[in-house]
Amino acid sequence: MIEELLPYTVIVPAVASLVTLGLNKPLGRWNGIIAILTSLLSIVIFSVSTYKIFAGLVSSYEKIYDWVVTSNLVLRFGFRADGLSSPVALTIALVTALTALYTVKLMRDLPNMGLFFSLYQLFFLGMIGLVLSTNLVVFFVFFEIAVVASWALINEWGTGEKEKVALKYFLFTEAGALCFLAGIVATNGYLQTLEIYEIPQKIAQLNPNVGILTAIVSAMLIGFFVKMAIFPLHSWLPDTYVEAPTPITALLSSAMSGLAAYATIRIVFLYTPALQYISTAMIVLAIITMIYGAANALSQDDFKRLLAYSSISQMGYILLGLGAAALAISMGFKSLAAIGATGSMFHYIAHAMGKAILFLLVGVFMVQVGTRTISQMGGLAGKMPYTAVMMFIGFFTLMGVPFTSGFISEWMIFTGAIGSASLVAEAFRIFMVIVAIIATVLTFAYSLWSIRRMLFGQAPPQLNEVKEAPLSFLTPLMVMALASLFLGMYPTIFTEEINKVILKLFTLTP
Amino acid sequence: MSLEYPGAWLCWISPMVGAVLTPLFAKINLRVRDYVAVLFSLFAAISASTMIPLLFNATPLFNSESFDWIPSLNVKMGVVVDPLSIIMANIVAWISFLIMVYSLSYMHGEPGLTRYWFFMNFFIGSMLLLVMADNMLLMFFGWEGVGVCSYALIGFWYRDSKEDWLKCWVGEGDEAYPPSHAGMKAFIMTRIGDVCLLASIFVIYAFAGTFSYSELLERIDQWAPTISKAGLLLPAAILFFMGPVGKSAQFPLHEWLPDAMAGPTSVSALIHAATMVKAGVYLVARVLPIFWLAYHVLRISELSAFFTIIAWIGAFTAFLAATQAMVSREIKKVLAYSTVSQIGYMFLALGAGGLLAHGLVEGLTSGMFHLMSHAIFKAALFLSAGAIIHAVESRFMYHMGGLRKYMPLTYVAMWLAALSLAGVPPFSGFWSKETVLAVSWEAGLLGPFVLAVVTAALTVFYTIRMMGLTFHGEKSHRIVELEAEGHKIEEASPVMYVPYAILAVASLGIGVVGWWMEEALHRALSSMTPYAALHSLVPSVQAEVETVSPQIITLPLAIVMLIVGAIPAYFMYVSRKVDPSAIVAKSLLLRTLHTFLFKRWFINKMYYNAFAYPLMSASRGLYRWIEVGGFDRALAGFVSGVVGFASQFRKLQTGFLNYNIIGILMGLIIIALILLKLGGLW
Repeated sequence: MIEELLPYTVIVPAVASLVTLGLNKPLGRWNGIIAILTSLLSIVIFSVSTYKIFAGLVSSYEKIYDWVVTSNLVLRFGFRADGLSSPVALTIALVTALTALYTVKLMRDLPNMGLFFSLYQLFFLGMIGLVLSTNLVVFFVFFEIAVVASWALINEWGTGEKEKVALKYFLFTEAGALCFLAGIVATNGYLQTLEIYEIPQKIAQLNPNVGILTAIVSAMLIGFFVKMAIFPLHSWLPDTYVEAPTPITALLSSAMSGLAAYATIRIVFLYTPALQYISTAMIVLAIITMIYGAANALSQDDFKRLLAYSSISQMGYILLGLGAAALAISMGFKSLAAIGATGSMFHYIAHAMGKAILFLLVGVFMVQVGTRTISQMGGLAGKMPYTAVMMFIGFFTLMGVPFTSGFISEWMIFTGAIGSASLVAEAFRIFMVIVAIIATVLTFAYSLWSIRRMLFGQAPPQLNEVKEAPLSFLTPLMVMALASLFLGMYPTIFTEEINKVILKLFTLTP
Repeated sequence: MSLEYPGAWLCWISPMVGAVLTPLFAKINLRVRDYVAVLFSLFAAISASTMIPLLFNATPLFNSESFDWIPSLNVKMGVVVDPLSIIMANIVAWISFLIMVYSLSYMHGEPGLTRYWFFMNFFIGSMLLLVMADNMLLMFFGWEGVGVCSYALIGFWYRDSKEDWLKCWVGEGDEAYPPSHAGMKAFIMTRIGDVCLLASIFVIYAFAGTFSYSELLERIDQWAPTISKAGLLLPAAILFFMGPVGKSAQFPLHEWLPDAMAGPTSVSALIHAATMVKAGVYLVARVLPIFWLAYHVLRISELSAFFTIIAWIGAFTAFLAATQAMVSREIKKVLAYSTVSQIGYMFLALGAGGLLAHGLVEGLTSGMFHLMSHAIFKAALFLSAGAIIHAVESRFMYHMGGLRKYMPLTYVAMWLAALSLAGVPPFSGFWSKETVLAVSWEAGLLGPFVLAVVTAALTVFYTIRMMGLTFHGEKSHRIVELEAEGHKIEEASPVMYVPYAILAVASLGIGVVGWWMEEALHRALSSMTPYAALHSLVPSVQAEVETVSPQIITLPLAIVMLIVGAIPAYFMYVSRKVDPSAIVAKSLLLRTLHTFLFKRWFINKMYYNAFAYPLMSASRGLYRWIEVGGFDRALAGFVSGVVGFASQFRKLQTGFLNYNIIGILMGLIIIALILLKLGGLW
């Protein structure tokens, strides 16, 4: 039943996208409501599939069509929901639905709403398709759909020099995508398969040259690093996040960029023999990114730009977990590797919650306070108590304060990182990770410093009239805040299953 | 599902439930909200007390009860029920309850009380969780939970209002901080310790594969030697200790605590007496058996450095903070410095106990005994200080003076507690400080011992100074002014003075039975020795060495120090026969010393100048020079290079049809030639 429905999570948004595009004006606010409904469909489907998989009733759902079949090339168009893709897709659908709800509520006078939601749904279906795909080419196609849709959204509804910024975003991401494409082509040539789940067995059969595999993996990773905005490939991100329309920033930051981490686990980790050569680079870049992003965030005065740098920093955390997992796999410690990788995936979900709340708050501040410049705010806690609580929960999730999901995810990432570093038994590696852990104080610094400047102290006179946002604006944020708290206290439902699936994924490989 | 130790679960769950319910009750009725909040903390205290009978069991007590939580990390949600946790939980829960009762009157009429009760209960719950947790992950929930609550409560008056400067700021001159700054400072500074603690926990996990205390203890012969061989045991142990250093405000992370006085006084009482700063001491006590075993039984000799560092940091901090307390002009800040100083004593005891082969129980006993007596008298002191601040509406002691006539009950109660702090026999503080001195003497830690003895004199001095300035002498100008304005200065309400009167009497009561109390604690804590768990490993340590009782040295010394500190303080501040400011003004050395102490040894200043401000300018520099000046510049350069390169080709696009056709023809010819060549036809 579920497997039959899987394709519809992509088809329905595609159709709805055409509908909103075609009818546009007459639909009015219904454009947004259609987008909410399509993502609700996905929420229902993925809730059921996640539940069934986590309850142990099914191991995975799969629906595969033959797509292009020629004598020497067979391409299958496949969707697969398992213990990893299912919760990730659920998170994306949830964030998309809540962001759409927020857009309908808060951005009522958005021009050309039909086109907006048409592209919005394309963006959504691109991400969902990418998560579910079983084939490298299909993966690439969905990836491109998401990129093009998000480019158009920034180009059209962004602020400031939106065209220029959108082009920068597009070119960077495309350059990365081409690197990834090169990896795909090389895989096809060298391993003779495009099916993601056949890669391990082909590697086992063909016993390929490690150097070539490393080259393939490096090319793919460069593509993913651009998407995750890993130092030094990050410079597209701040401008993009600042100038993109707020709902799109929320989606880009929470859902889209972390998908590269998902893809790393799904695809890159299958090239096991290559991992030992790239893991060190991953860990080093991760630590630099963590510190670099946070250090830049500290001195920002534009709240949105501050969050953009914070996103860069948080992607470093995710990459650290992945790097640790890569190292542990190459040393043969798969359950340790699974802890790091689970931490990364869980951090992706936690960060999605926290960062979506914070980026959506930017919009709330723009509407209620009329600015997003930190130095023009102050004393807002008394005037906007609910907003303040949301901001606390959002930042606490990023800071990894217990009772929020960020705590458990960071705990797992660092457990994996120190664990794998101690496998190598070089004091320097452990020292490096300890430095990374100590550097998390920077997250505290920029978070608490923003909270203090925006929420505490005396309100400047021009803000005397500021009112609390209507609760309907804040509803999507509250849902995410509750989700973050729930997962922080009862992480088991996600971590255990993700962990099992990842472990299975890793043990598939020889 | 039946629980074997319901009290161990309920004591931390009920305040948390109370916290969550507070906003709901606030919707019903504000008075109901207040009483319900207090009721939940009472429930926690009663739950904790239900565990007390277990202390008198004949069998050694080290039990835990747990449920599956995060199996992939081998983490369970569980509580540990042993003498240490039972004693600690009872101290925390009961003192917290009294502070909650006091808050009913002290915080009456403040705006934002829903927030206050939420965080107070959450604070208590987090603290009890960290006490009861049987593994480090769950412990860290409580650990960081108290951090969050302290942040929220220190910054309770987040409006930083300048009009209420006398009441809700802290410090003066260039070291005056508003509440929201103080809260942030506390959270970030303790976090520095916390991340070190985290790193250490992960390193230990990497080798031991568990976060659970009892498993760490049971498997110590497996993981400790390996981690030691990798050269990581001492670094991990020291990083571990950094967590308690931050939470318990020890040097070098002590600077947040004096500024934490910006919060309401009831919050200060909670932070200092029952929660937060005691967490560090408790955590070290909790892992002390593990490291003690590794040092004395597995003979991992580098750990002696770990214990020595604990003892030295404790003793040095005790001295450092005591000197600052001697000159502070704010009543709460004197108490804050004294907390830092007294906590130093507890660490000294634990460190010394770890060094001694037969000293584990001695160290734990004296550390916990001092923790207990300090918790009681410090809560009493803070609560009475709160009543005084309420009366004169100022935190400065030069706005007080002569208050004994106005507030006789507070006067008596505060003196009882103060004598305990000063270590006057037979108050509880005397006995507990005595045991600390004794165990550090036994451990042969001469330097820390001397510091601790000197600090004893300083403690008496600053205690009497504080009491003298507050209650004795003439009444200050402010009091005169307040009275002229028709503001009556009077005794606090019973809801306020009953809690601190109870505590003050308790500190006398425990002192009277001091010997017996120490014996009882010793007996209860002796089951903390992990002999039972590791019988096979421990043949050699059993032999107890009975040397000359150290009391022969420490007891007279303590009395001498008491007199040395008390006499000058009495004449300067109580009888006011000698004017201290005149003495200081006369000598350049004393003036310099006074400034040095008053400016907190310039350590606070140095932290701002060496870390906080440079970090901000480094961030600005990084953004301006690397991010904008480097990456964005390079990108712009690259783009203009590409555009420039491409525009070179524009010259070819002349637009003349003839040129274009010639070009096409030439191209065709070249292609044709290549094809011919490839086909072998040319």
